[in-house]
Amino acid sequence: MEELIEKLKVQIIKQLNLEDVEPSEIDPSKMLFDEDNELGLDSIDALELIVLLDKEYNIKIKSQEEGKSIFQSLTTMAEYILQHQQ
Amino acid sequence: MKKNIYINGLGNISPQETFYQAMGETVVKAEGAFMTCQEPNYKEFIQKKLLRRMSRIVRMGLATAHKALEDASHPPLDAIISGTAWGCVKDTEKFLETIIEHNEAYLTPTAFVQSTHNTVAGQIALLQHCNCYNMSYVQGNVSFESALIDAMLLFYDNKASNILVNGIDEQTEKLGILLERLQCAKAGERVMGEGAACFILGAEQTSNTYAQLTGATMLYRPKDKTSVKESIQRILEEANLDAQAIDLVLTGNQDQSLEKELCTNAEFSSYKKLCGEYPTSTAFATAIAAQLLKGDPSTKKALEINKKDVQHILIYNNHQDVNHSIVLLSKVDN
Repeated sequence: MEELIEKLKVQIIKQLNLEDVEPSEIDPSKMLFDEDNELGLDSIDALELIVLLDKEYNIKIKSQEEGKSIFQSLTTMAEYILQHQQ
Repeated sequence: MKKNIYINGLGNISPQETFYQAMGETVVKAEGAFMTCQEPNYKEFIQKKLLRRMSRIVRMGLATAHKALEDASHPPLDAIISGTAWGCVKDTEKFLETIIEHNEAYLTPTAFVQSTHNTVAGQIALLQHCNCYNMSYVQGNVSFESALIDAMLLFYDNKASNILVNGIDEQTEKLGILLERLQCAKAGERVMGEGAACFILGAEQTSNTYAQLTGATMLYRPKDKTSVKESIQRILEEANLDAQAIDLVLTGNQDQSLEKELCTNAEFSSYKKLCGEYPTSTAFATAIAAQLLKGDPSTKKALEINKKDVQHILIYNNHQDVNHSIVLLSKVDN
């Protein structure tokens, strides 16, 4: 799990082009799309994360509701990947 | 009806140090087949969270728009008109590469959204909260001139008091490879360049006015030299000038015989030695001409001009005898 979270941090930084953000600065338990999150993610980033899951982990998000719970935080993302990775 | 139009603010990113409305002391010369821009620290002008999604050309377009608006003391805009031939080519490359690498799957939205030619004009409008007329001209080597003429027509029709006009094109590694293969770029002979120049045009002169935009026109495949000369003479007549009144011709051409036959009192300077060849290079020429008319000594030095008093500047670019463009600028008393 820890290993996967660290890997996800690097992939997210690359996919979302988060300039000047170090993996250590991303709190895995923090809400990803919260207004208070200094990452400042928005709906386009959500689409980028869907593509990332499909491309890197062969996981397809089928509904908006499903996406909401998966992308709550890095931890929820990692948990979902571990449960569903083929 | 023809009206006076003034350049009241400008922002210019080029291979030279031009961002601060004057030419840098050191003139950068081409080394190799390409000249690339000297870019500012974009974090000073664009929010970090927005910056991460912007490619270089969008950053250059926004930074020059910011600078030009600041320079003109933020007049309310009635139109945003952009000219670009290559558009956001870096994002276009990224999008196309993803299509190839992933067999038409996993296309990410950002590169697609940002790859359209009207991205820069759209982003300027979003950041300035400006929902006025917004247009992007993709017209090859006369993209900037098309934008400029559209702006002039809006002024003539009384539809605008202040208009933002820019000319922007970026160079990328892949575009460079293609240009070299096509023998468009060659070290020492045909140096390719890039740049972003933004202007705030106004119907009224201000204390910051650089120059008056006295005329602009373009010709597509003119039948002979005479028809080009006639077009230049028509622009001069409309401005109540004759060819002898031109003090300086900023030329983009290797063969300068036409302009030398016509403007016998003028000095001639090739502006592309400072910015390289790219489709909207006349926007760079217009910016440095405006700086020179406002009295920037470094621009005069960089262009190697001896004349003490330059009142009228003609910018003439002939691209492969297909697209000819002419821009006329005149000095104003501030």
